[in-house]
Amino acid sequence: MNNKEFINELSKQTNQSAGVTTKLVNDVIKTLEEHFQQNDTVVLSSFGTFEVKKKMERISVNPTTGKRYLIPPKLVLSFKQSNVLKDKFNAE
Amino acid sequence: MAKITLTNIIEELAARTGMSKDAADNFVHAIVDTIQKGLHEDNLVKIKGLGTFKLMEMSDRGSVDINTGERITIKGYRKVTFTPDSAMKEFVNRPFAHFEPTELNDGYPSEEEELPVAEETKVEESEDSQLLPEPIAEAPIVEEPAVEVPIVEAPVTEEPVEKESVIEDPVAEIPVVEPPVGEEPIPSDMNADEEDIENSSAEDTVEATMTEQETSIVEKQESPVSSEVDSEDNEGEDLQPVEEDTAEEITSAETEVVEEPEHEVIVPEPSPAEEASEQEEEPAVALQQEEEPALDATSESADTAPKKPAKRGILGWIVVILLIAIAFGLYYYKTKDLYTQSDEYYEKFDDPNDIMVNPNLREELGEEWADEPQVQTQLPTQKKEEVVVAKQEESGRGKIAADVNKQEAQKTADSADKHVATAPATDAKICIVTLTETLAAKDVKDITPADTTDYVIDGTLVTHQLRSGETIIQLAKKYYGDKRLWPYIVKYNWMKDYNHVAIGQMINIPVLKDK
Repeated sequence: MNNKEFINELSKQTNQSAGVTTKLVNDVIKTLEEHFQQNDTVVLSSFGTFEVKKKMERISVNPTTGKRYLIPPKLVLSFKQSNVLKDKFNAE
Repeated sequence: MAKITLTNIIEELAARTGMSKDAADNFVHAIVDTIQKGLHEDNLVKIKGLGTFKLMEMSDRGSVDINTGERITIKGYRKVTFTPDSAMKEFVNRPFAHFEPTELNDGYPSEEEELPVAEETKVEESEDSQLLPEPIAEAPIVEEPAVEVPIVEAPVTEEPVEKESVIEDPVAEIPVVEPPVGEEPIPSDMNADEEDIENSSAEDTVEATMTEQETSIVEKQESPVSSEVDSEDNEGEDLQPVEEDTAEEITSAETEVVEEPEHEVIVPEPSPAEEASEQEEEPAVALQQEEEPALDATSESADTAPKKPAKRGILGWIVVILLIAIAFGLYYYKTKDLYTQSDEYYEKFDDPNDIMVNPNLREELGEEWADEPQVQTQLPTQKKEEVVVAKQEESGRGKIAADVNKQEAQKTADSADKHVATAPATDAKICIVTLTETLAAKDVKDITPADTTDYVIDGTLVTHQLRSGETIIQLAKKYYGDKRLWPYIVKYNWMKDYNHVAIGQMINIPVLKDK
């Protein structure tokens, strides 16, 4: 399901036009971004947790040339599914 | 760092869009439901600006019960994974966006780095060695007066000492002459030119010694047959260029091992130059005084003399330059082999002591040898030519001329002796010492490779799973750029040795830190 299909499906569920839905989705994403910016952990119960994690700097070696590189630290957005979501997909 | 829940998001969304909380609540839940639906349908949902949700199938895996230690199997399950799209990724990482990976070159010299260094030293050597001959070539000009000074001013005091050392000379020279004989053909072009000069000087000395009978022991040995003297001289001439080669090879070897000797070798040169320059002015005057009476003494040679000195001067310089050029050609040719086949190099010379003696004597002989033509060409040439010209015209007359000039001729002979005398006796010993030091240093370096003691293990760099065809030594080369560092990996992994490994084995690569 790509973005277009997602918007269409969502607009059907909410009985709104695709354009309005797109705008609303973007608003939601912006809201999330604001929290990510503040290093907040966003917990969507019954779905999962978004968390910004800091990856420490590390030394990496290029296997072919043998040169060593210092990889700088970085912030990565991670997602962990909730147990509810896990159970939904593993019910059977 | 606060924990934000779904309700927070709904409130903020309502505030942002102006819609009611219920509507916002519905909408957010609709999004979550749609994502789950999409995951159910085709295991993948892409949301622009946020990222991709994917349903991944995790297979069964074995584990160990923490409490009981029993082996258990964690059953496979499906997991929702999320990959932020690039826009979101960059947004999140904005605070650290200015960092970039940097290459490290600390502590672990790779072979790529070492090689250029060696080449650089090569270049340095060549520069240094280029410097070597120049002072030699220049020094003689300056030195001559210095040599002449004692002759004019105080020949009596210095002579005995020098003659003693002269006696030692042949002994020192003979072993030197032998090794390079095989390589003699090189300066064959020069020999003709050299012989002329040498013959004249030899004849001078012979004439002087014959007539005066006050000869030293060494001179007696030389005097009986002038041709012998010539041949010896020629051999000496041959020997010097060759020695230059060998000496330069060895200086290169020195620089490989230790850099200090280079300087030590160079050191002796400036000192005579300085001394000479100090004495330069006085003897210059003395020279002129000496030359004038010489010219007056023999009117026959006066016509021819002024032309020949100039020719000889040019000739001497050409010879010097050519010899240096050949020496360098040989030096570069040999150094190629030297780096790859240093063993062969030493096999050539059965006795390393010969090598040790040669280069240093070369240094001295090089100067001395450079001195001689100069002495012949500029200062005593006129006297010698008097003798030579006279000889060419009439042998008997020549002898008379020699008798007339015998005092001066003797002085030239003495000066020639001094050249031989001063150099090897003193400096050769010093040079031998430096060479033995360098050889010793090289041995030590061979015995203790710099692989085992330079670093300390400091944590794990990475864990490497051994694949087919890989060896621990290859890993050392790969991670450290130096295969000699394999013992660290062996030690860090508690291995018996580097052969006891299996394909798929996890090898911890230790971080090496400089001690």
